[in-house]
Amino acid sequence: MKFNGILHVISMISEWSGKIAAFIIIPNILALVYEVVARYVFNKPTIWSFEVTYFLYAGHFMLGAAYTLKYHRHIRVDVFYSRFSPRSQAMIDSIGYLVLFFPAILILIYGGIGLVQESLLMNERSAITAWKPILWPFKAMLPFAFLLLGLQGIVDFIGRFNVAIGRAK
Amino acid sequence: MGGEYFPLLMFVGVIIGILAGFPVAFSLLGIALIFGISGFGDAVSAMLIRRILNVAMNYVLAAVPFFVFMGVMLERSGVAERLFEAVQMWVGRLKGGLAISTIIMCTIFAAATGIIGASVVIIGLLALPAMLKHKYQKELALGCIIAGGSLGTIIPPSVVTVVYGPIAGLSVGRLLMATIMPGFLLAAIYLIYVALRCQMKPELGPPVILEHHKSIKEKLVISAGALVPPIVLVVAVLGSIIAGLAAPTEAAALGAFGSTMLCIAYRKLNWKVLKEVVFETIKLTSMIMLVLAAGTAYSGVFLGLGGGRLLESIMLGWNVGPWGLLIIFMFIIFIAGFLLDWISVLLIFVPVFTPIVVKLGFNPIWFSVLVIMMIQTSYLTPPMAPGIFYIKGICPPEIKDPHLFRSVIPFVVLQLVGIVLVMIFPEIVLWLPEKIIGY
Repeated sequence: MKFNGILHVISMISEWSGKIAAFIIIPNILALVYEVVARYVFNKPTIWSFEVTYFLYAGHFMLGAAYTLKYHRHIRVDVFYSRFSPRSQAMIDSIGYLVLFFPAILILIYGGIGLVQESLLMNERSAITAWKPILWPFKAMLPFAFLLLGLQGIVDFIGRFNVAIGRAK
Repeated sequence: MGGEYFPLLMFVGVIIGILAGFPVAFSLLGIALIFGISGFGDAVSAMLIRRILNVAMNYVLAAVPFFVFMGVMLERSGVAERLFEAVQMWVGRLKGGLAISTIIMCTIFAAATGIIGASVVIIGLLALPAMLKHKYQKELALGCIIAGGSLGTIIPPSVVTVVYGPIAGLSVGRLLMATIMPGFLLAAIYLIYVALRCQMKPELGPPVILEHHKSIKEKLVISAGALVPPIVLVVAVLGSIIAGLAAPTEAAALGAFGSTMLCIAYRKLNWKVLKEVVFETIKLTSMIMLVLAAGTAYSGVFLGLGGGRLLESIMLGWNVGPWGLLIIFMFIIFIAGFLLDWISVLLIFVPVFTPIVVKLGFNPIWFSVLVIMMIQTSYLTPPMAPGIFYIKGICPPEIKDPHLFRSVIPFVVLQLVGIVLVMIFPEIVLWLPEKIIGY
């Protein structure tokens, strides 16, 4: 029971992180509209538009990854898959999680932490515009998003695994 | 197999993973990791995350969620209903008039949104019952909707084109310009085909007798209300890209903003709709972008292991001449389109084919447009045919799979006709960007 409680909490985290991330697009749209207006109407382009845009864009789709997994919306090619029995489908997913998903997510979290450490050490700043924001918080978003995705992956894997071994339907 | 063929195993591995039905993004990441470790050892973690970081820091790709948002919002705005009514008023009484209206509406919709999918459903919900009621041939009715809906892939703005640019290392703005004429060419080919067939066999699409005859003035008022707002939106988005006033990303955000304004003007926007739009947008965006990020990681490992050079030397060794190789490439993408989704097709083949095509002396923009046209064809070719998949959900029971499969055949042929025309007359692609940017 306790274990199911943890899985439930993870699902809720995926749900809410995704829903909050979903709204990031609105300030991003408004910021760009403001930039275009500022440039042509006030003749005063912002210095932050470029970075803010990709910060928000990346936060949006990366933090949405776990939520998208929760709703099984990550694209799969089901030409053959849809013709398999539910149990075979669950076996494919279980194997896929163990061989492909979890190792990759772990490595990406590890690699992402490496990026953040490096960025902190160098006190790295974006060199694209005059705004020059520090970059580590943006980079820290990547391993964090992969952590959320990996956690939701655990929830989904356990469900699929139970179907694969015949303990659930 | 010797060590030099190692990257090919990676290619086989990823195809197996994808066709087994495991999500594409995770298959690509997992295979990239397995082969990356054996090729690069510890360095693989930094390498993979850096490739993903490149996608996350790509300003141009930030246009993707905006175009997705714009499409989802427009679907909710009720603009499709208005368009269909308006277009039908003018051409409904012609032979095949409803089919012609459907294609015209799809073309306008394609120019206003960058995604297909739900738009096929919306158009299908309007046009299919109307055509069946007026005794249109089922295949013709379905074909118009499915093929017409797929036009969103090529007619800019298009998410496919935005994603294509960074993969091939080409300017998204130029690519968007380059797809304008081919996109409208395909729409015109569809229209000519439908009109001619219905002229020759009127029973395929009998003319519709309207119960209530409207005066020209009434017609103009309804048309203006339906056509002007989306056309303003299209002109604002495409115009600002073409005129160089806004980067594609900015234009996409303006489009997203404009579609919201349109929804407000049509009194369709409320808190519930807004929530549904942003929740659907993040799912579609995450789905596309994760495959793209994973595919970028995958192609980084594949090219790093020498897979690109290997395939290049194999393919150049076939001695079929530049055009022979080009046709083989197109054929591979055509076949892949039967089985794979569009992003997988792009990520697996474009990074390998593009440098070879450039080396053979072809124009990369022209080649890209050919590939995008072929990807549009993949929306029609079963079993992996999103166009058919979307329409299936809304078909009445008397429509069976064979109707759907038969319905796309003439349109696949028309696609190939369009592709051959663009091959023979590259000006269709190159004229507009040359005129505007000057090279």
